[in-house]
Amino acid sequence: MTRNILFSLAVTTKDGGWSWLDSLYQFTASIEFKPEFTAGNVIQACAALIATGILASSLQKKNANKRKEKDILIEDAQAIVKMIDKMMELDGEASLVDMASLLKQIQVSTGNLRSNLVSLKYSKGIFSLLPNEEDIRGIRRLATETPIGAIENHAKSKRCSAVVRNGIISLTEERRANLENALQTAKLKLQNLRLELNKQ
Amino acid sequence: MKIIIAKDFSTSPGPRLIAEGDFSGEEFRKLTLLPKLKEAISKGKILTVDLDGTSGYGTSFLEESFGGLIRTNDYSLKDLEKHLLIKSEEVPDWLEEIKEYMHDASNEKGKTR
Repeated sequence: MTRNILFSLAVTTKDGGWSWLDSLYQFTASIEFKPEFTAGNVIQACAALIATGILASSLQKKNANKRKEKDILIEDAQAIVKMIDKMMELDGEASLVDMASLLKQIQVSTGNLRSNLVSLKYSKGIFSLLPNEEDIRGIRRLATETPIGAIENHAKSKRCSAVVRNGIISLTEERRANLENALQTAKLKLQNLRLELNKQ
Repeated sequence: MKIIIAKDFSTSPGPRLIAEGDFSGEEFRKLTLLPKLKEAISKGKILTVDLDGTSGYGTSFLEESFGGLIRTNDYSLKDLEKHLLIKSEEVPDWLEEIKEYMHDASNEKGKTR
């Protein structure tokens, strides 16, 4: 067989013709197909076919479930981004109760997202993209902390960065900027988390 | 003994001081927390404070309520650790925050004495 192929190649290169086709014909003509099927063969083939079908459908289902899980996590992260946007809209003067309520929603939602990521066994790299307790505590401080002691004295002081009157908190420009930065950082983290979740 | 803030005080706690608005931390400490804490200590019992069910808390409300017990009402951290149990299933991070406020108030008190 090898000799035939070599011969045909030799003929092709020497003459530049098509006589090698003849050699190939001779080679393929020597392969015999025996169309004999036993019941065992048929059963085996059917079993292999069914097993492949089951495997394919289970893989498809697993992938679809994984996608659904990811979509839910991405939606949850997006919901927190919306809460942060709402906080940014408050623009330095807001009801303390509204501020505290938004902060609680952010804390509860972030906590839920974190426990979902844990239970779905996501990597540590993913967790680092979720705003942590310190980030949120920093935002809480910037948004709601007022000085200890008599408010009148502090309100007169130039160093006072937040004043509350009738339940409305007013932040100085500097503190407002710091709060906005902290919120923006948390938002960026969440957006990166969404992208990373989508990739995995 | 138990205080459920949402039921016994307000569902929307407000600022730090009474002068700053309704349902302040100062008001909560003076009118709700302190009487019950005194009773719990005199009876040798534990007072549980449940934070859940409200719209949320500002940092100053929590600091004034719990840090204020040490700073203004002269309780020691040891007394509070023995007789006060604070609970929150909704936001467990509040518990860490309150612990920090009580420690800070205790440290500040130590410095001034």
